[in-house]
Amino acid sequence: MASDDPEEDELRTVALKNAESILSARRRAERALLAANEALERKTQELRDQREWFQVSLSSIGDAVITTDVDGMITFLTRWPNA
Amino acid sequence: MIPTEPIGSIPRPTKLIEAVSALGDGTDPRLDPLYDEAVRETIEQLEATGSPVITDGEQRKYHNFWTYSVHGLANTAPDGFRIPFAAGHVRRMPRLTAGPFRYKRYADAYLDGALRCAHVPLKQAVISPSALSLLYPPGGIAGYARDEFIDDLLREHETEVRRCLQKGAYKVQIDFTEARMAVKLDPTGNLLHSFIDLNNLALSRFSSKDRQRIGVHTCPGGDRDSTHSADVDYADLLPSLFELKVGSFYIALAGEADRVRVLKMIRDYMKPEHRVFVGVIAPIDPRIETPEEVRDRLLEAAQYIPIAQLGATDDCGFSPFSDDTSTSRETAFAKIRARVTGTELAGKLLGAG
Repeated sequence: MASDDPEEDELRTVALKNAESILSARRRAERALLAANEALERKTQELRDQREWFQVSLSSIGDAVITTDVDGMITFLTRWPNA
Repeated sequence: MIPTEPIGSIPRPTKLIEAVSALGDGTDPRLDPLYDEAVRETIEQLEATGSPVITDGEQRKYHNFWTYSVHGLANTAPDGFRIPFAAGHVRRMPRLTAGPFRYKRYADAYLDGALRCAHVPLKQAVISPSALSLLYPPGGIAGYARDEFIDDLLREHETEVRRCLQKGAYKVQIDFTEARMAVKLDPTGNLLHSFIDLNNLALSRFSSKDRQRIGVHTCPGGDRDSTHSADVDYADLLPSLFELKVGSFYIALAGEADRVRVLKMIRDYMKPEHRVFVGVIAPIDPRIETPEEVRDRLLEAAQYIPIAQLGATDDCGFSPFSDDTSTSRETAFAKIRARVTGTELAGKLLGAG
């Protein structure tokens, strides 16, 4: 791909050498993204387990539990206990 | 309404150019009052065109859109690479001589004064990481590896864009005029892909919401009514260009010999989340377009680009290099007025008015 212009050849050389470093930066970014994704998946699973534990605990107590949001809308309700 | 935005630069007032020339350095603090006046006057004139979005005309960018962020760095030398233009003249860029690489100034500094004068949304153009990547010399720098430079460059660019967004820039436009030059240097396309990769590495540091406020501008590189890469076919560029993770694209079109061919390529490669601002004004053409010409160019574009994704812009800034006097300020403002009026006419006809 050499041209008659040494300066153009030099610029092409710089750019193509940079390309290797850019590829290496991209690989590092991809590895970081992969690690972040794995950490997110672990956290999601932890939260899911925790939520399940709370639901089981609340459902097993004798009283009914109702939670509402600031507008008074019911957001959580355990099964109504038998009278 | 069809959105319309300028690209960036407006020719500097003659007295500013003369004062810069007399002092020999455009960053001399004695120039500040002249810069302030130029910014104020440019914004007034741009607002008078009815432009819904403006810039500061890049009045303070010295010496050009490419090197403003590194001009005056102690670790650069003036003998970097050369950009040859079709008219025969060349522009030479600086070369990095030592690490670490840090910007001398971030473009958000220009927003400070401009935002005080502006009454409509203001956008800010910044240079792409791929353009600045060419500062690193072919033989390397002792004690400062190319990998380190690329990391520093990405961080500096991210900082600049973030600062512009935080200060309230309506849009941040990344100038990517070296895209076509990359194809010229390496027709295999590998270099262009590498540039796209580098720019995407920087863009991926932003949220998708931020990226909606970020755009990319591409053109054949204008200076003194000439270009450096007009001979590069858009077919070699557009498929890769639309891989960039931004919301808006500003694509030179008015100066193209076969606009319909380019529009068909845009239609084929743009994505649903993209807004494409097509160039309807050719800054390197001294003739002032009429609003009707602009209208017709947009009606033509609307046959290929959904109206909800269409915008209008200029092909390029009017003087990306601060000493360029090939276009007068009056001509630049008249052309912008034609763009604004013509875009309104097209919007009404297309039911978007």
